[in-house]
This record gives sequence, structure tokens and C-alpha cells, in this order.
Amino acid sequence: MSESENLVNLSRRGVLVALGIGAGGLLLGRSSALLAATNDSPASFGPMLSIGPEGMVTLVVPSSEMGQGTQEALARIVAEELDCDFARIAVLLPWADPAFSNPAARRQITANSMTVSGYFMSLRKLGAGARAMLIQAAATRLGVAVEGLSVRSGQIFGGPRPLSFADIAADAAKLPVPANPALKDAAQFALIGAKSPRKDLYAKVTGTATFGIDVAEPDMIIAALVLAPHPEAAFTVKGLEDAAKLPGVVATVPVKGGVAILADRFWRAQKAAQIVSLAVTASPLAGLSDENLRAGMQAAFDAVVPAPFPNIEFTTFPPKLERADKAKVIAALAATPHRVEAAYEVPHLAHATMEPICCAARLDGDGLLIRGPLQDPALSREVGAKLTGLPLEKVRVEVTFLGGGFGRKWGTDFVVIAIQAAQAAPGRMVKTIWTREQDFAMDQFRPAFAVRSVATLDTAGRPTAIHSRISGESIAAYHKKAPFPGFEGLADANAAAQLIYGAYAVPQKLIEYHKTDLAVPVGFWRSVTMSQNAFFAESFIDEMAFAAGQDQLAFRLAMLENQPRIRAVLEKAAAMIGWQPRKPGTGKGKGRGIAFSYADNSFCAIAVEVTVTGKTLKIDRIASALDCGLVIDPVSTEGQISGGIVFGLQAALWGEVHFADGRPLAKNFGDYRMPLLADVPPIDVALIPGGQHPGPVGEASTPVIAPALCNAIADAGASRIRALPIARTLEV
Amino acid sequence: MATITVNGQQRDVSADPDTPLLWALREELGLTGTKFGCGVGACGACTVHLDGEAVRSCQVALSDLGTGKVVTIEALSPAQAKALHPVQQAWIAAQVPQCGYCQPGMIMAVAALLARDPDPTEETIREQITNICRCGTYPRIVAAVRQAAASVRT
Ligand code: FES
Ligand code: FES
Repeated sequence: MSESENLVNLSRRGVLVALGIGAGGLLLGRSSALLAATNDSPASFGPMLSIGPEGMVTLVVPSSEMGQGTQEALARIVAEELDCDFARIAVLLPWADPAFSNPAARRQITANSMTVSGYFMSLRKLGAGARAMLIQAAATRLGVAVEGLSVRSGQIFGGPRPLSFADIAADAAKLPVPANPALKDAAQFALIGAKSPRKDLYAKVTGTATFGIDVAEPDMIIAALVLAPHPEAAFTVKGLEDAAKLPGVVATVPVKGGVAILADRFWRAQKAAQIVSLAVTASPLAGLSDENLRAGMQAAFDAVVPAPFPNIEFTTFPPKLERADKAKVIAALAATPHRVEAAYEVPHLAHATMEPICCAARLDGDGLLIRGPLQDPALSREVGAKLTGLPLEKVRVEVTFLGGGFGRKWGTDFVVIAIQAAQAAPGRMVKTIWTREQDFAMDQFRPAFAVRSVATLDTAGRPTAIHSRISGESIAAYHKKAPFPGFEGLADANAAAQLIYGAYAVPQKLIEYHKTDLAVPVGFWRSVTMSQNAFFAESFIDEMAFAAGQDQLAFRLAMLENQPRIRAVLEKAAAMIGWQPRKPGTGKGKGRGIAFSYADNSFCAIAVEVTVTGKTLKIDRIASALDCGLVIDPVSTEGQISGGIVFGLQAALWGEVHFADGRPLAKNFGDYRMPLLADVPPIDVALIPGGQHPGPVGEASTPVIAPALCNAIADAGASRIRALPIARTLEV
Repeated sequence: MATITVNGQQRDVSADPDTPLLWALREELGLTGTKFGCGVGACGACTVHLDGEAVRSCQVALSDLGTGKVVTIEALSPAQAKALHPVQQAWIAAQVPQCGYCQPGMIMAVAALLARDPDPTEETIREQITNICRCGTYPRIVAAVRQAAASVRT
């Protein structure tokens, strides 16, 4: 029996007991991977779908649910093709299994906004395949042709009386899985595109959803931490013996970058942790401060030989990379006298997921069990095997609900610590809980970046060449990651991609990256590259519109003739705030700004109106238009856009992690201001339908609000903001 | 050993007296709907009702509780009631939650607001509800509160 079958069977028992539906139902997939047989979907989906004898459909959704609503979206996709009763489908959280890989990523990871688009076709085939098997079994039972049968809401019609899925599931399970089941025409979709509420809402409003921090077992141990300012710091420890004597303390354990205090209760573990101190003897961050961090990034422009990054052409798949001819760009820049130049910077940002970092683990005779809020269960499993020396099949990883992810829970630094803590108390579940202060201080931050850009405009005011250079830390370098295939010899895409938008028809464009060695722990933060580059790219374009004296929207549209979908979202967002063409910068205190971002099959524009009075900024309203292809769950999609704007608004207005004395200073929400209900202006979202395939949503709006706002501030007649956050310059 | 009143029941709790109510609820009584977000009273994820008022349970030590009656999200809609509390219903209808982590605290804060002000203005709602939602669900919250208020009044 294969490893995945083993896990499945184990888990299946748990599932069936939990649902009270007993064994003997239809279990589609197994390790014989329903989809392995089809050519265009090499990813195996294994045991995701089952139908119990009562007709209850059980679906293991393979992605992590962190608020983005993919659990609902993926369930809808399966149910749409299966034609089951959506009210009678139970959705389960996943565990790590190669059978659950996202076909687009080729591993089980929830990141890059690619869950719905990545699983879309495979899950349709999963649902359609099961439906075909059920119909076939019904036809055999009734002695009629399949053509005479139809399926609606878990019932098969066309015989003397309707057959339910429950009646026929066991027979259907014995049939071969069709290699290429017929899929529905998009015009027939009923669940896809419906506005019905998500299935996870009930648990989330009643407090019954199990997040990582809620993992509980009798006799469980809680681990609190004492952490050094950097995972690789060297330190000596004081106070451990006293801590060990405190009530409830079970053990003290060295872990990566610090010490874990294990106790029977969080509060006791935490009290013991507070009397332990670390004296740092060496740290990669030694001496780091805001000043030398910025100085380092500026120095890199001269000291570090730049690596180029090509323009990305998204109209082909996979996106084509078009390399610039540096000599031509430099010549073009030298030839024209009408130059626009600007320098920008953005600071480090924290994720601050609402659920602080946490993870539970238990090591016993059966192996290692990890339960937690994980965006990358597959990697967590590998990490578990490596740390314990166990074979992979002895490591089971179960994903809970995530109280926010935003890229932070893609890291496995906290999984490592949780496993190390568990190793000190074999046989018992050990739940490691970080304090909010640790969650901030030991984040893997969005890196800080600095940019220098220069462009030339022709006599009509159109840019003929743009050269943008960026410096700052490389996420790939911090995580010792090899470049993506096809990106060898190029700049880290996480830093440089889209620093100048490939979509703009500008004859000469050159992006370069001066990689800066800083050793600050950095990682993926909602929208990654775009989180900084939408600000740099769309601010600089706006500055060109100002230099040309042309309306900011018209200036953009003139360079987007071959980009109908971008034009449509820009025009829609502009219309939503009543955009009237005029000379930029003449708003006399009332400004409007526009910006967009895009990826393959996803286009998001934001238009804002602001009032600037002296040094005070008021955001009057925000409008956003999104074209993300086929929309599976419109209400959730709108929520992702408005929520993504609020997330980006925090970064634009206040987001900044300061450093001094070799450590980050943000301690709690008091030092890292979050928007509250009173701070959030009216936000309108419009969805523009676009095509047959869903595109990415979760990260689309987050990076766009900062440039839209700064462009509006400049339009109001205030000085242009070139360094985020805005609160450095204006009061909000 | 302290005896506290939670969700209408007297419960014996053996946690250290300085333990915040938040952790006693979660670890002694298994009431994990109340969430830890910051531990310093800044986020509201830990909001419960204490004698009908919204309080941030990370800021209340067990020893300070006395005879105060605590209600948590688990008992917001009483077991004998067939339906959810109007705020919970409005939250589902308006599809407020994203990750959901802040929502028990948010809902408890709103339920307490409506208990003392059954018809709050938009301004009152914006001023009084100061819980943090990192997913940024705020745009739907004002409408959901008004919806809940309307159904509480009828
Ligand atoms: S955990 Fe109590 S206010 Fe944040
Ligand atoms: S719904 Fe995620 S923090 Fe509020």
C-alpha cells in the first residue's frame, strides 16, 4: 500500500466517524489519482472526494484557507461539475500529501494567488469524472442508456423514479475513472458565479473554526519562547535554572535562534520565559539601524554591479521575458533632452497576521504529527523529516484554518522551532505560541528598497526610454534559493520584476537590480514584488504625465493601446470617481489619482480622491475595478479586493519597521499602527467579467493603493511623496 | 482555585490567579472562540462580555473577576435559542469574515454596543468599534451592524 493510501485510510476513518456516515461509500481517486490519466493534468489529486451511503459528499480541499475563500471556491468548482446538492457537501481542511499538489505549482502550497486558477481544470475534471461514473452506474442499474439520464442536485433523473447519489455511489465507485469526462459549458454554471455565502462563515461567526492556535489535546504542553534578534545570532542564556523551577514548567529547550520554555499552560510558560534573558554575542544584524540600512541601499547603486531583469510579456503563457538592449536604452536616454528623474524608497513591512505565529507538534512511536496554520504543508513535512530523521511517510502534517497568512505562514522557521520544542517532550502534543511582540520582531519582513529612475520624453510628451534601478535585499538570497528555472543570471524577480511595467508601450525599457547584502530576515509579503514595484512603476509614470502636462489617465491609456483589459479596468475605476480630464497637479487641495497592477489574467485599477489641507491628508473615497477572468465567488472576490486595499492602505499610510541597535523596533500594535473602522474611507469595487478561466485575486489590489494615493496627493498640488509611508510626510 | 461564572455556569478554575481571563477561558475551559491577538488590550480579538459590557479579556486577571458574569462567543446565541444572535446572522448575510480570526471579538464588541445603543449612527459605530481586522473586512462591517441593529429592534 502506498504512503498516500495509508494516510488516506487513516484520515478517512477519522472523517467518516466525524461525519457519522460509516464506511462503504464511494472514495474516488485513491492513489490511482483520478487525474493522472489525463494528459494536461499531470498532478495527482488522489483522495479528495467521497460520497457516503447517506449521499453526503465529502471533499478535502487541498489548499490552505487563510481568509481568501479558496476553500469555498474549490468546493464550488467540484460541485458545479458533480451536480451534487451543495448544501450536502462537507468540506475538510487538508493534510500534506503529494496527491494534493496544485498543478500550477507542482506542489501543495497556498501562495501567489494561484489556488483557484491552478486547481480549476483538475477539480472540474474531478467533479465531472465522478458525475460520469454515477450516471454510468445508474444507467446500468436501470437498464437504460446514459443519454437518457440527467443529474440535478445529487439526484439522477430519467428512470422510473429518481436515484440519489447515495443509492448508486457504491456501484459507481467500482467503475473505471473516465480519462476525459465532458465538462459543462460555462453558460450552464450555476454555483460558479453565485452570490451565496461561504460555507466557512458559520464556524467563523460562532468561534468554532479551529485555527492553529486552537489545536488542543488532553495533556498538551505549551511552549513560550525567548528569541534572539536574528535566527542565526549567537548568544548566552541567563535565568534558565530559575525558570525551570517555576510552577508548571516541564522543560527548557534550545531551539533555532532562542530557547523554548515548556509548561502546562501558556501563562506559566510565558512567565517563565520572561525571567530568561539572552545576551547576544554575535548577530548578522549587529549595529543595524535605519540610517545605515538606508545608506547601504544607496551605496549599492554605485558599489554593486547591477543584474538586469527582462520585461515580462503576460499575453503568452508562460509569460515571455523580453531582454532589454542596454546600449540602446542608454543611447536613447542620452539623445533626448527632456528628462524626468526621480528617486524613491519603501521600508521594511511586517505581516502581522491577526493570529500570531504558532504551531503544534507531537513526536511519538507513530512518527511526527504537525498541526498548524501552514501555507506550505509539503515543505513543513520535509522539514519535519529532516529534523527528526524520520522517513517522510512517518511525518503527517495537518493544516488548520489560518488566522491570516499573507505570505508569513509560507515560511517554515516557526515549524522548525515547534518541532524542536516537541522533541523535548516525546509522546505529548507541544503547541508553540509566539507573543505578538515576537511575531513582529522575528517576522520575515517585506524588504526595504530604494529606486532611481530616469526617463526621456519626446516632443509629444511620450516616453521613449525608461531606465529604473532598484537596490535592497534579495528574498531568494536570504532563503538561499536558486533562481526560478529560466531566470538564471537575472536579478531576483522578487526584487526587480515589473519595476517598469512591461504592458506600457515604451520603445526602450531597462530594469536593473543592485543586490544589497543586509541579512535582515525577509520573506514573501502579500503581492511580493508588486508590493514595492507597483508604487515605483506607477509613481514614475505619473511623474512623466506631470512632466508632459497631460492628464494622468489619458497619458497611461495612450501607452496601453494593445492592452484592452488594462484599459477597461482603468476606465472603469476612473468613471467610478467621476474622473474628468485636466492638467495634472492643478487640483488645488482636491486631488485624484489612478494606478493599476496586473498579472497573467488579472487586472486591477484603483482611483482615489483625496483632500490635502496643509499637512493633513484626508482620503475621500476609493474605487477599484478588477478583471480576474471568470469569477467563482463574486462576494468573496469583492472582499479580497476591498480587504486587500485596506491591507495596502496600512502599508501606504503607516507601515514601517524601524531598526536600531541591530534589532527591529516594532513591538506590538502600538508601534505599528493598524487602520481601524474609523480610518477606512468608502471603498467601491466593480468586477468586470473576462473570460473562461479564473485569474489571481488575493494580491491584486494591495500594491495599487499606495501609488494611487501618492498620485492623488501630487494632483492636489502637494509635494509628491517618493518615500513611504505617507505618514512620514503628511498627517492622516 | 477560583470559581468564576462563565456562560451561565459556575466553573472552578485552577489557573494561577494572575492568569488573564483570556487564557483561563481558552486553556482551562476549552473556550477557544476567544482569541489571542496582542495580549496588551490593543486588538480586541479577545473581547468577551463581563456583566454585559465588552471587555478585552487579556487585560482582566482571574483574581480581579470576582462575581462578574462572563459571556463568550460560544454562548452569545443561547443554546436553547434556535437561531444565531442577530449580529452573527448579519455577519453571515453580509459575508463579513475572511480569515475569521478577529471576528468573534468583533461580534462580541458589536453585540455589546447594540445592547446599550440599539440604533447606533454610522459615526457611533465607527468610533465605538475599535477592534483590529488585519484582513480589512471593515467596509462590510458598518452595513452589517446596521442590519443587525434593525433586526434587534424588530
Ligand atoms: S489579545 Fe486582548 S486586546 Fe489583543
Ligand atoms: S477576518 Fe481576518 S483578521 Fe479579521
